[in-house]
Amino acid sequence: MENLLSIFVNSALIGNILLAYFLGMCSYLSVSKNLQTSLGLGLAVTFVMTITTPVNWLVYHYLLAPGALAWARLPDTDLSFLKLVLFIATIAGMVQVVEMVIDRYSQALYNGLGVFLPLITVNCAILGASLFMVERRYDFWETAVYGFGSGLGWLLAIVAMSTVMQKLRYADVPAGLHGFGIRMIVTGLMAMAFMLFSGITL
Amino acid sequence: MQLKSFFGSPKPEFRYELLSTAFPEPMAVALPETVTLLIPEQPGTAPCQAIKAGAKVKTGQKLSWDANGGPSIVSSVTGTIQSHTPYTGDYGKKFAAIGIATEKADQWDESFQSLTGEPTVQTLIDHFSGAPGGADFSKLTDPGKPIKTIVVYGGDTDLLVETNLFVLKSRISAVMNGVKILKSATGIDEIFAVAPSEAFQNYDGHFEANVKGVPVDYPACQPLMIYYQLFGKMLEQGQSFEDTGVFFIRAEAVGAIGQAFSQGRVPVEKILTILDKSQRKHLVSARIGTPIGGILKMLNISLNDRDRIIFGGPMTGRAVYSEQQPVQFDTDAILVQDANDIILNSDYPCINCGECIRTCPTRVPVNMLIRFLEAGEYQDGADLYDLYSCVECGLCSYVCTARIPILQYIKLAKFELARMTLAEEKND
Amino acid sequence: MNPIQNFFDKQRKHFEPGGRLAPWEPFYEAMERVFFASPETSPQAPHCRDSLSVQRYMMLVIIMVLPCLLFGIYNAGYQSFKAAGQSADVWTMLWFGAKIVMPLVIISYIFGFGWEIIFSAVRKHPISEGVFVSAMLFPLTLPPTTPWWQAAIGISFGVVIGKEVFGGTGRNFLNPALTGRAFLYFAYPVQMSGDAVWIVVCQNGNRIVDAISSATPLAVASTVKASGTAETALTQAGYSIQTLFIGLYPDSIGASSVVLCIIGAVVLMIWGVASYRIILGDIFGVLSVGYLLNLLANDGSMPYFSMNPWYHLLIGGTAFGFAFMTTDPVSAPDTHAARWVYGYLIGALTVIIRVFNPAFPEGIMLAILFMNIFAPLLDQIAVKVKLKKRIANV
Repeated sequence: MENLLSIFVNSALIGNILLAYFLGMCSYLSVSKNLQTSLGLGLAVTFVMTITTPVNWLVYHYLLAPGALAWARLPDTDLSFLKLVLFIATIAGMVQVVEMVIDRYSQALYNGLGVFLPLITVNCAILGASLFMVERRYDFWETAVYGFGSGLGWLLAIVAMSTVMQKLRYADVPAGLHGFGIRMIVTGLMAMAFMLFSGITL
Repeated sequence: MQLKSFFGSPKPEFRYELLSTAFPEPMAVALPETVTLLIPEQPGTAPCQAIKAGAKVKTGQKLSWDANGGPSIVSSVTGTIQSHTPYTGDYGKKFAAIGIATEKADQWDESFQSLTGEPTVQTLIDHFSGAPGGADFSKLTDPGKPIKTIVVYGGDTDLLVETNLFVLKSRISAVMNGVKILKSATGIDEIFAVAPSEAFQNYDGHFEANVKGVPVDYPACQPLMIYYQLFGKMLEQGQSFEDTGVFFIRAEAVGAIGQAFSQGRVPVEKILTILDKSQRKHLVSARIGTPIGGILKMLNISLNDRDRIIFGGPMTGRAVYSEQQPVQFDTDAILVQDANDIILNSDYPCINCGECIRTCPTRVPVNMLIRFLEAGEYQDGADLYDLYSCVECGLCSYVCTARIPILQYIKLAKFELARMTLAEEKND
Repeated sequence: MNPIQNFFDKQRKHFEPGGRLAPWEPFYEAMERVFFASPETSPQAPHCRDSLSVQRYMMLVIIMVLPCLLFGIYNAGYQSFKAAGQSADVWTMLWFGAKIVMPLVIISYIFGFGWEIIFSAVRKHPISEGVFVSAMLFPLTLPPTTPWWQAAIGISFGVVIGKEVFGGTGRNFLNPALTGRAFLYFAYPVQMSGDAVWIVVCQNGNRIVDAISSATPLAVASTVKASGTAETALTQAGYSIQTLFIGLYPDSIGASSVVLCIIGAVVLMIWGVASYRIILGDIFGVLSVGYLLNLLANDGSMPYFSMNPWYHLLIGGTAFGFAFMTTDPVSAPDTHAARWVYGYLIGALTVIIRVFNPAFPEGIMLAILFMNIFAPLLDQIAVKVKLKKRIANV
């Protein structure tokens, strides 16, 4: 239990997938304009991550890992070179489901997210979580907590970013830094503040 | 710096002027050589002959852009029209500025006298829209927006000004007569008379209207504050008082109606409070259209370079650029500021010190609102940050450490939103 | 006639449009405004204003920080002589301390103000007084041995990246002084980490050793052996309550004296400059989390857990940060409710980081920056809640 809590805090705050590993930057930088949309995208990513990471764990451990196909009497097969492809396929499938659900229940959010919803498929944070899960040799429950925690960490970062950007509408940014320039600076400063947690060992 | 209580509510406490029982008679200003009258322009039509240069006018004569009707004002002098120039007022309102060379002896136009027997709304529209105190009486006849309540307010809308209250207290019989006439002309029975409560503590006479007292602290006498205190709600976006069936009229205008119907002549003299550079008050009465330079000269107020003349009071007044500017029917006060006393503006951004929130009488989150208004996001300001709770008292600008013209931003935002609402309605 | 006025009048023509130095007009204006009011006026109501302007607002803060600076100067000198085993009178110590501290302050002002002038000149804006406060607070958070070039880099980062790229005072979202401090912390951890503080050592009034290190109260408290208690360890290391309160121990320049910080905070609160909501929230946050840790403590846990929570307010930069950093109105939330939460979370995070994060002995700096980031979010939540409660306007 303590182990799971530690993984949760680690993935959400200490090793925040966005501000410590800088994964999932593309949609983060372009969507974070207002709270509503960011919250929507953040929740969608959290949802997709919470589901795909454990599913990918199953895929990896029962299909791809060396010796995983023992149940199919193929103990010597090592399909782990396929993990990138299969992970993305799982993620794409899950995103389709999420998209249909959002389209059905919240048209406003669907329109607000626009093209970024399908683009969750290629959100590197989600693939990153699946790959880290393999690298760090988590077991199933740890993976589930890790996926959820990473998603929440991403949500936290994008929500904070969107509110900061809203405050910065009042700002007078030099011409060359408009748009992505100032966002990168803000992201860097946020990452510096998130260093607050780095070093905590649980 | 103001005194502030510990941790406490550091609200600046301002009180309206409360006249003592002895009323000084206002000093009369001599008839000037020329007066300037502002006549609302009717877009798209040519001005009628009666207001062209060279035409003769009599005192009390109705002048309007269009001979067949439309907004009109009453000439305050007898004389000859000399000039006719376009003039743009606040928020792009168009006027024709008419210069009249005056004659010493007044010749009264008698057309009003015949109408005194039976007061009608049309008479009010024709003869009182530009009378002292003024009001847009045409709002009383709009069939789409029936008026149910009339509010006569006796307090002044700014600090240091005592014009309105003076009229209410010294001409009370005229005001009562005016209320009666309003009732019979409009057929509206619900009339409120609102005045600062302490100003009326010892009044025990009968009054035709339902008398309500309001606190004497600024800004309780602003029309929007009165509206809130009487009806417990604020105006919504794009709403005016008339949209909700309420008509606001100043006690001064009601007094003018009362006086006119008993004397047969529409009053043409406006009572003003003049505040000189050392903040002494002078009550004067001047013909509408008198250039303010003449009034200041009479009071021995000398103007130097960079001094400032302000129409209205210190909180919400508007600086004017020339001493040739005429006294209008709604000019309550003229404030003269010495160049050394003028407080500077700056273009600092808001530093979020929070003074404005602490002082706001309607608890608008001004510091958040102003950020949205400065960025031009008026609709967000209205939806999220209570733009329409603002009563435009100017206290937030008074305390603003960054010296942001908050009041102007708010007025501009309301104006722009009203314009947008209007445009949308037209498109529909 | 007044010679200063004459001087400014003579120089004005160079800075007016078309003059030789026209791009540097903001610099001229800022200098002139130190002495005289600006001649510009505006035609807008209200025609009277409260006398509290941004200039005066910032000056009030500086006035309350000055005692901390003076004490810091004295303390730097005192610690040097003490480390060298010498004794000297107060004036000698002050003089020696000033030689250590004042260069840092002056450098901070030169660079902070220099960047402000450059950006103002480009933007054609008047100089904002906010930089005076940032450049004053920044050196006070540094150890006295900080190399001058580091101080220059730190304040430059704080002012440029923390503030000017967003448009100057009032438009930034992080506290500029702390941004610069945090930058130095991560860039030069050897000189800047909070577990050891460096003392300049002198002999006969000269700098002989550039630094010896000594453990700060924070380091002492976090490394207590399991057998002892944090309080006794602190007292044994020479940090009694009285010492901690008055502040005569080696620490960063201006942050050691709790009593001066309290005076500053109280006066600023009375003047209405500092928000009492934030400061009370801060203190409540520290105490509540401190007590919570006391409750959680058991025999096996670190003695730091069971330390009296009031000690957290005395050691480290807590008092200085709460009085002058958390109350920076620009980076704090706008709404009253959010300010309580903001303060509370800063206090809570400070204690949590101190106790749980071995990498940072001091948590307050990053806790404030962290909450600066979430201040706009707290505001939005506060507004949402308020909108829900708002009575529909029928």
